[in-house]
Amino acid sequence: MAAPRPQVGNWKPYKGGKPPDPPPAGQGPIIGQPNTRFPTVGPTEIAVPAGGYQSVIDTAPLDQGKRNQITAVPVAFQSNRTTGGDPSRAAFARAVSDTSRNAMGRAENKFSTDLMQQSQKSRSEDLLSQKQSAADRFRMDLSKNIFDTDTSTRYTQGIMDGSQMFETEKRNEEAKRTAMVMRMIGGLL
Amino acid sequence: MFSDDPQTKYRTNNTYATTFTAPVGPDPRTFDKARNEAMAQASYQGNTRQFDTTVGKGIAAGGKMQAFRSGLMGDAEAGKAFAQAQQEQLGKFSAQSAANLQFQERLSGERGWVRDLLMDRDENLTKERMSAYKRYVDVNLGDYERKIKEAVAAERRSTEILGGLI
Repeated sequence: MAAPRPQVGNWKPYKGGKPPDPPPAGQGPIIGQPNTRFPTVGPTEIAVPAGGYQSVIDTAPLDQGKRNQITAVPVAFQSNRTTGGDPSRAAFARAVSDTSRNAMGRAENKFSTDLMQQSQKSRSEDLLSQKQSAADRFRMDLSKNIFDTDTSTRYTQGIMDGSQMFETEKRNEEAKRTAMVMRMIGGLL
Repeated sequence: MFSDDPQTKYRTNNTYATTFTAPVGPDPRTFDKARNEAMAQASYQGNTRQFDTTVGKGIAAGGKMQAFRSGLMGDAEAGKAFAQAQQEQLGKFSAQSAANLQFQERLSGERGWVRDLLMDRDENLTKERMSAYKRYVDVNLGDYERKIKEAVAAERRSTEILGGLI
C-alpha cells in the first residue's frame, strides 16, 4: 500500500471562535529591492547577450589612404625649365590642379560625412532592435514565471479549500448524528 | 514552426540563417577602366602640339606666344581629364562604401526579422507550455473537488441512515 501523500499547504481546522484578522497587506513591494514578504518571481533584469550587443554596421569614415587617393589630382604640367613663360604655365596648371583637388576634397568630405551619419543611424537602429528583442524575451519569461506561480498558488489554495470544506461538513454531520442519538436517548428516558 | 528537426529547434542555423551573402555594387573594373581612359586622355591632351597652329600670318604661326598658349590649353584640358579620373576614383569608393553600408543594413534588418521569428516561435512554445501546466492544475483540482464532494455526500448519507434507524 502506497504511503499517504503529505498534506498540501500548512492547513488545519481552526478552533476558537472568530479568528483574528490578518495583518494589513500594506504597500506593495517596490521593484529592484528584495522583499522577503513578496519574493521576486522570474528574472529581474533584461538578459544582455554574452559579449554585449554587437552590430554589423561599420561606422568608420573612409580610409585615410583612400581619401588621399581620391583628392590627389595630378598637376598637368611640371616645370623643369626657367624660361620666361615657364613659371606662368606651371602656375596655371597648379591652379587647375588645386581647384580640382579642393573640389574633390569637398565632394569626398561630403560623402564621407553622409556615409558616417547614415551608418551611425543604422547602427543605432540595429542595436535598438536587438534591445527590443531582449526586452520582448524578458517580458515573455517574466510573464511565464508570474503565470506559473499564480497557477501553482491557485492549485494549492484550491486543495486547501477542498480540505477545509470537507472537514467542516464532516463535523457538521457528526454533530447532527450526535444530536440525533442524544434526542433518542432523551426520549427513552 | 518551420521544422521539426530538433537540431534547428533552439538555434539559428540553416532554418533561421540570413540569406544576404555579400555587398552588391557596380563592377569596380568599370571605374578603373574609366579612370584609365581619363588618365590616358589627360596624357594625350597634355600634348600641346595638337593646339599648335601652323597656319596664319606673321609671327603667330609657330611663334613662342602661340606655343605658350598651346601649352596652357593643353595643360587645362589635361587638368580636366585628371580631375575626371579622380572623380571616377571617388565614384568607385563611394559606390563601394554605399554598397557595403547597404549590405550591412540589410543583413542587420534580416537578422532582426529572424529574431522576431524566433521570438514568435518561442512565445508560441511558451504559451503551449503554460497551457499544459494550467490544464494539469485544472484537471487535478477538478478531480480533487469531485472527490471531496463525494466524501461530503457520504457523510450526509451516514447521517440520513442514522436518522432513519432511530
